[in-house]
Amino acid sequence: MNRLLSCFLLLVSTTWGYSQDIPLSQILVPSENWTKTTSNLAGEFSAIASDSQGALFLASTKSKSILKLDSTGKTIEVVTDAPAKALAIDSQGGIFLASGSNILYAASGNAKASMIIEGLDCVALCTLKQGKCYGAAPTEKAIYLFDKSSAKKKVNTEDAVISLAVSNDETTLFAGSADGRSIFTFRIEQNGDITAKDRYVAPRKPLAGATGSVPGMTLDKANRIYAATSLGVQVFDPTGRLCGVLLQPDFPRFASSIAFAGTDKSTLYALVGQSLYSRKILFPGK
Amino acid sequence: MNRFLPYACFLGLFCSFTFAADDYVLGIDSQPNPNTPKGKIEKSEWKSNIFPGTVREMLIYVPAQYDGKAPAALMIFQDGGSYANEKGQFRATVVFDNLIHKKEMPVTIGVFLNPGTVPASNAKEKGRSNRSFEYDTPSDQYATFLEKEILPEIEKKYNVRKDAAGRALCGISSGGICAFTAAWERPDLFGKVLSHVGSFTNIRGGDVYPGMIRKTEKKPIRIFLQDGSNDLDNLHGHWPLANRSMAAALKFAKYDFVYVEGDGGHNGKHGGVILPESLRWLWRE
Repeated sequence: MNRLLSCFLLLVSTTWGYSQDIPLSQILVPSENWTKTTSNLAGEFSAIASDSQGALFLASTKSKSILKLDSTGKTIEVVTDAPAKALAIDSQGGIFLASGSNILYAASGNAKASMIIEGLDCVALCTLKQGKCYGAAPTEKAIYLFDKSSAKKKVNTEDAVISLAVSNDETTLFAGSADGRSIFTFRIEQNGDITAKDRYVAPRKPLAGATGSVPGMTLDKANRIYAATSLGVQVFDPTGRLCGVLLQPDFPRFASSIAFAGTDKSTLYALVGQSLYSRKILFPGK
Repeated sequence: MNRFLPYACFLGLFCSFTFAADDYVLGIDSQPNPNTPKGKIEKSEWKSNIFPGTVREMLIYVPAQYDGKAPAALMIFQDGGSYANEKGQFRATVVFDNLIHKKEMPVTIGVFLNPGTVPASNAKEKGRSNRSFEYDTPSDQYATFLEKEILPEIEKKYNVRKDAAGRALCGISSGGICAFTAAWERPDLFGKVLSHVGSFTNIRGGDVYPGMIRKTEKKPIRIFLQDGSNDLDNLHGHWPLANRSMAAALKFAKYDFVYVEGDGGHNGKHGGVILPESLRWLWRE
């Protein structure tokens, strides 16, 4: 009986409606702050992402490769000769990379990435379970959908967005605007097209004089949105209400890329400048 | 202790929504009267372009006294399903039947709108609720939705007043601030507001209104605010303080307003019990 009730509570606490109006005190681990995680990692990273198992992947600008950080803190080079400004891991462990003006793909276990799309300049990537990947191309105000077979489709033609995340049930695409004014939502259609755009979330803006942006975004299991902004990581509940703002790990610099990783995906990683920071969160990441 | 933890959490989850001192009882005007003509309710689904991809339920109440010759007043309820529920806390259609029959409010067409949902493309998944975005955002988008989509639809079917004083908005919680926001943005369209436990807090920046009211030339809006001293106090703000702050600002700016504070929580019990009196005040000549 107790087990059943516990399961019920877990279920209701991770659905869209019941995750509403949660304050930061119920999200953050008391007395835990950001920690710099570079003791055994030479800095100089351009982007981070995690896989479904909680492994963290880092795009190294120094070695022009992709490193994998396992749960024991060790790193191994998993893709060589692939400088990347954005990356996303698919459900098979393959890695999509935005490299220069091209999109590359490295299958799981393959250290060599192959070019799948030439001439597509993306700054953010986000995968779907079916093996498809969205790419944000702000210079042409577009979002693309593609897969490793090189098939690509422009699914949005009017918005300069620089970060992407997909809801746990893959019904909604979140896209952070380059100007920091909005996190758009789109309905994901069965074929991957995106429709029903609206300015669903309005991130808190910096004080006058500073510019805003949403360069990084990730979700937790309850579809709370963690948006890296110039004010800090802003956390929104699944209905788009602000839960609060996490302080910047290295003020005044702010995170450009964030991801949940580690055991149970309960550690939030943030790339600030070229250094990696982390902190425990009470709710696991997606 | 561990044995009881799930039970305690379970009870806490639900009790937190209901615990308050509000033991209000509905009065005679909230009860169906066999001698009172009963209005008709038409149910439909509305697909919006202003809120792209959303669908919502819309109920239109037409009083028995409506004959189409004289323009009827119009009142639009947010979270309309709960207001129209004849066994709920408000029973607005029953109250309309009774007050219109007694000529204590004008012949009024009621529009009961639920918030939008963006249905998932995969039928197995739940759609995305658009309620907080539509209701809590202090912008003109909801007013535009009413102006461009709902009013034309109603006016196509019914002869209703087109003056702002002949149109009222009502809502509970986020629907309360939504009603105020729409009238604030478009006082040329909506001249009356009825707010129950209105969320004039910082959910999406709606706590700015007291300051804005004080420093904006008075708008032609009549406002009835209701709240309870046991209303919410959470990350977004303190509801009773926020409503008192609204009332103080409305008083400062010399608005035609009433603020009634009971001892209830975040629900419609008190607001439902005083709905007849609220409507009499709101629709008085």
